[in-house]
Amino acid sequence: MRLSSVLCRMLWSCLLVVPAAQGADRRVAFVGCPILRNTTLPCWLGETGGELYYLGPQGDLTADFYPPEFRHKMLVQGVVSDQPRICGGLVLKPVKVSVLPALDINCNVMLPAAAYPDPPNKRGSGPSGVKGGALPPAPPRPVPAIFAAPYTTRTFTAVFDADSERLWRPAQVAVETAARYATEARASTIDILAYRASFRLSDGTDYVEAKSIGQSRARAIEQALITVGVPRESRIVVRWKTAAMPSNQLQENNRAQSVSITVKPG
Amino acid sequence: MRKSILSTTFLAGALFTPLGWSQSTMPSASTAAGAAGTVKAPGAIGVISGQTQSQGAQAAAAPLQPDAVAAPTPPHSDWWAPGSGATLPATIDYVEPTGKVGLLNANGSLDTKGHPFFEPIGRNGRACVSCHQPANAMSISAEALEKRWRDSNGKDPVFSAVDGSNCPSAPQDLESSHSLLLQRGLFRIFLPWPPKAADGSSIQPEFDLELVSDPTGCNSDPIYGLHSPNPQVSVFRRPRVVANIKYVVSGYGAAFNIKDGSPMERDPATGKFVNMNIMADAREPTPATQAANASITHLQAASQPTAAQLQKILDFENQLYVAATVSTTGGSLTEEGGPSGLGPEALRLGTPGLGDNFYTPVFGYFDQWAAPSGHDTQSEFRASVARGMDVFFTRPFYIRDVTHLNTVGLGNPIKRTCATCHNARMTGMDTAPGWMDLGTANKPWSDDLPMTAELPLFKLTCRPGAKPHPYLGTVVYTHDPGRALISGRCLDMGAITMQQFRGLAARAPYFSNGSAKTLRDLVDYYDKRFEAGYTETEKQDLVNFLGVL
Repeated sequence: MRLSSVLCRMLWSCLLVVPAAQGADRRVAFVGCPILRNTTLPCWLGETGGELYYLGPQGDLTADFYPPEFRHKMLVQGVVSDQPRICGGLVLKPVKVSVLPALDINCNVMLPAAAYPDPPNKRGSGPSGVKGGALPPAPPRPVPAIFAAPYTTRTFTAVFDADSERLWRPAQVAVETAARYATEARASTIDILAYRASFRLSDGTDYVEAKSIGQSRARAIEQALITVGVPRESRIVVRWKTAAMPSNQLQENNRAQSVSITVKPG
Repeated sequence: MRKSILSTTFLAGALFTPLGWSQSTMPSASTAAGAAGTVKAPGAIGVISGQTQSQGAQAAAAPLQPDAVAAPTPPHSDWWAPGSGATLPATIDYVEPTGKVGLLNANGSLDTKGHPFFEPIGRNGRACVSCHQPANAMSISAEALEKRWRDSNGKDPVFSAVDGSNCPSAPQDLESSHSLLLQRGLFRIFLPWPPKAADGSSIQPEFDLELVSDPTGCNSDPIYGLHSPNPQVSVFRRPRVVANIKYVVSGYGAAFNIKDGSPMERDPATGKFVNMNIMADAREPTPATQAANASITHLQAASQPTAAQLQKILDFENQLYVAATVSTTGGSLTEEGGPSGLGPEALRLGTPGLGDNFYTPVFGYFDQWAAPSGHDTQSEFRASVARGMDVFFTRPFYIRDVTHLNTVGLGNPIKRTCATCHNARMTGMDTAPGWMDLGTANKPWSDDLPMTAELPLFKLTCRPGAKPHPYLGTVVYTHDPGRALISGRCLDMGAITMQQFRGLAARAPYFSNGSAKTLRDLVDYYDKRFEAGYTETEKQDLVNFLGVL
């Protein structure tokens, strides 16, 4: 990390002389240590090529943005927005951050708040809500898909963070939905197919997921399906791809970081 | 158990390898390399969890004290001896060091004669009540154990060799053989290694476990140790409160653990997903399986309790509420117009759920006490309690390097408060599965706690291909692997399920390994661990707040 650049961002005066990303391609992709700005509500930053980027605020599990972790590098993919800088960083929006598994004790940089205001967020650093306030309405729950005969072969997609086989909520929903469909359709076969991704970074290099990641993802989905419950008579086929496919975390249902679950009715 | 199979279409691996495809090779009953697909997960079948059989074998091997049952109980003692046949009143207060703790039997007084919670239903003279004493908020304090040792000349069945001593092979008549129990209230918990799946088969762990030091000698014991014919790991833990159960087991119910995305366990009786919040390592999915396991291990019963016995135990536990009722300095904690969350009746009336800090506070509001009504000691103490509540809920600090908190999508570190983790209404537990690596078991943080040198120390090394502990890496030194002894995962190394906060003053010491002798020790640990920078006033306010729960 270019610390001098980071330190520069601690000062308001620096902001006037650091240009925003220029050109038509405003995409940014890099691997680096996360940086925390110690504002009252902390904000998360990343640095590459001498530029500081704002990733998002500290939040909670209802937020779109899940922050990175000290002691781990992160893979960042984002697009530089036209918004004013936040916490000294160019705003990446959309942005996707994956916490990479290897331990890196050097990822431990906290910047002072300096004069930066808190990043915008609906929740502060303390308790949620207002003392004595009324409980806000719960966010609407996604309506489960309704399945009905005649059943056809359907594929459900569980997407993972880079180099991770952890099932975050969207992947859990994919598993639960696939299991329900398999049960209702009395599936003869459930085909689990996992992929492995590579990411082209802004510096021209590639970040490639671990060779075993496809297998790990396939096994995680297999175990999850069985635990949630699929018909005993269903044959589960587990496959994974060892060759890495180009990936972009910002794409929805990004295939290269996914496991497809194909349910064939009996 | 289901087995996944591989379509024969893909058996010709060479055909697909150039394209980068691999696959599980496993027609059913095939032994082809790479075959897997059998889900091996902890849990229980019926009321018997996967580890119970091997634990039971060790319990059966441990010696019994022939004269244990005859241990006398002095008059006017608060010690509840098994088989006493006394009546447990509908409500009763017991004196504890800083006031009184109250019990509430919601179904009225209980005749304990013949009741399986109070009768010795195993072979060693113990009953459930031996380690879950009413006077100690249904847990047990080190002080009570030390007194009981003196009163019974070490003959009370609570000191049974199986787990009431540092090791069953130690000379049982020596006080030093029971040092962890007497000084820290720690019972030996012996668990099979490698871990067991629900059906009793072995789970292949992600890490290797080596013994670094063994002060009690039990992990290296030829009968009870790691390399015995029935390999077991011995760790030492405090008994948990058996009361306020509706809060402890409620909530969640999702198919996946929100913290790590892993599948949740089910209640074997109902098939419903459980919250995995009972016991330090969440090894038992329900109170029913816990009771069955405890009778076989702690009571050395030859077989599991009958269905009728189990039901009576559960019926008793489910209607029992415990909380502090009187503070020596703060006066009555349950007087009309006082804080709404105090006392056992508040627990009976309350509704379990997530205690959103301000809409529905975890322990209710303490505003009634916030402004001292005078300069008297009681008013000032109550104001301190109210400030302590505010510190607990609103004073932020950076929580860092805590597995299952900083790893759940909140970021590491996160600037939050005590109540971020201690968020369940009325208990201060976690509504989600509550095991976390706070550092009380793992080095280097455990070095800040006293007496850890008297506990066994293990070296855990993640195997190639396994993801390391998120903040400590591939090699972890721990006094208690915690949840990892059940799951076999590096992610769970040293992770301990948090406990409820009620009746704390009656059941010191604190933390799962009893390393905080006082509530002040506990607060000091957090202050140092997270560099919270509490002032002396804040620390005392927190102690006073915790003490009235």
